[in-house]
Amino acid sequence: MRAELPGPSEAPAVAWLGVSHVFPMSRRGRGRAARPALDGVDLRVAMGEWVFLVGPSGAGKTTLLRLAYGALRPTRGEVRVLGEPVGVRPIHLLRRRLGLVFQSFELLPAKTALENVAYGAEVLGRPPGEARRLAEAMLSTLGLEDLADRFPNELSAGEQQRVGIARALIHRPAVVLADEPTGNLDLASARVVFEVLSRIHRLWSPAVVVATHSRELLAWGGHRVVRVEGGRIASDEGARIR
Amino acid sequence: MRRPLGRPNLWPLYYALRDARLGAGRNLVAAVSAVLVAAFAVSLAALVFLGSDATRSAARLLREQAAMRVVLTEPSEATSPAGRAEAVARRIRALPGVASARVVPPEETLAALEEAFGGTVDLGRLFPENPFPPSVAVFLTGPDEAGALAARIARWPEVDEVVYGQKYLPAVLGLADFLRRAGLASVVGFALLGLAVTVVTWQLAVLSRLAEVRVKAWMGVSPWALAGQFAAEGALLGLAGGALAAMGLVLVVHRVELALATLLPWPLAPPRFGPLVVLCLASGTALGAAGASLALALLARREGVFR
Ligand SMILES: Nc1ncnc2c1ncn2[C@@H]1O[C@H](COP(=O)(O)OP(=O)(O)O)[C@@H](O)[C@H]1O
Ligand SMILES: [Mg+2]
Repeated sequence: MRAELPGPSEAPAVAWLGVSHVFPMSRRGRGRAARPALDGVDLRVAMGEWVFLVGPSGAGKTTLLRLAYGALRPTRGEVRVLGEPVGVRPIHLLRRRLGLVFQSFELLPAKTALENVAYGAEVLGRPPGEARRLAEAMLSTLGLEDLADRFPNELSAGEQQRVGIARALIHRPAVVLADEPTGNLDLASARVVFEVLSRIHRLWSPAVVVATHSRELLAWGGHRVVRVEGGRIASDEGARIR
Repeated sequence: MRRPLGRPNLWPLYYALRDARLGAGRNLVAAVSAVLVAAFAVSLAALVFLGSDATRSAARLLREQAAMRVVLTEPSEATSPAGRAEAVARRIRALPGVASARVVPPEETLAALEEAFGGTVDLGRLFPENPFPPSVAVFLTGPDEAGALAARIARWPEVDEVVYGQKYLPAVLGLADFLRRAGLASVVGFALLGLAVTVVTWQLAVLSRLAEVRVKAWMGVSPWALAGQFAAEGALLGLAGGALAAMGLVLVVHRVELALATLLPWPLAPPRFGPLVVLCLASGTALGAAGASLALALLARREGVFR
């Protein structure tokens, strides 16, 4: 047990505390020494803070995020989200408080953009009328109302990802975790997607953690940039809290 | 997001039904095969059940059989066959333990056979000279003396063969025993085969809805809720398959029963349709639910849906 638990007001949105992770060896690789994917990472993201996780492919960015949304349990250390240790309560309860954005958009092809966004609210049990109103409001605050009646195959990749983000964040989560959200996009589309994320950040100030290997985006926005290399934190620039 | 206590949120149920309907529409081939696979597996298993059930009740019937059919030889001398049959019938009536004896002319045997074939075959054209010898239908006062009486009548020179239930009893009992043992093994076999094919079919259905599954997993639907959703969908389609199988089997059994009733000289117990229908519906439902949720579990694992 930790001696001084942080009070609710100063609890970080996401905290990796002395986290190491070693993936179990595949059958073929057994016998070789396992290199840890993460090695003693200490990282705190404050409420409302925006953090870029950068670093070369294989650095451990995805592993960090997966630990935060409960897909993995750390080999050593502890991960806390919104003040709560990950893995104590069932993971799906944690995920309802998060917004997860991935490289693949996973829009439902038979639904319009509006219906796709409303689907996010339906999955969380909201009545159809309310889900639709929430979706309309979300699309218009993000400036996507023109896309509302189009089907995914009538949208560009960048537009699909913006609709996907609207769906993933329809419940206004306090923490947004995005793993290579622009990995499938060209730079121009990536910029527009980041504009949508920024608008969300201004709108209700969630903590935002974005893993990306796209260097061009970093200059953009003046956010905190955490560099991960070989499973360790190599640098951390522009943090509000350390 | 919180709702007042005591007011259950029924919208997830509504959405689950809607998603099932849309999902089935999205991959109609998979949905239809899920129904047909269930129907087929259930039919196979039910046929084994029926066969074993039928032989057991046949054995019971045979043991209680108080009727026999005396088939006469082809007349060699120039006596009229009908008159000879009538003479045999009279002698049989005089025996102790016989309630009645009636001559069955060859035309009646032919007509009964034609009816058994559902009137599709014109046997009169097929056999211009009726090959069936005349016979005598005998009803006894009880089943106990059937063996002794049959043996006595069979020794008469005009008699070719005495057909009566207890004669077949050892064979039928053997068959019932075999079906009971082989039936158990084949029901297990059909169940496993049906489950395997159902899982494969449902994997195709889930695969075409992987986006839906992923979004649900990302947004905090629990693995159990997702598995439950697909189990319910599988149960519905499996129930449809079971109903299809039940309808087909009831029709088939009814036809077979009619055919047997006209062919056999003794009355048959009516087949037990109630247990048959219940068995079909229940096993179809169980097969669908198990297959669909297993398919989801396997795919979710392979595609890393929750990780
Ligand atoms: N499921 C896994 N099994 C084994 N090793 C893995 C697995 N996932 C990732 N790794 C390894 O962990 C390290 C970090 O991977 P990852 O977090 O995906 O890096 P990044 O997202 O920064 O590209 C890499 O060396 C990768 O090969
Ligand atoms: Mg990655």
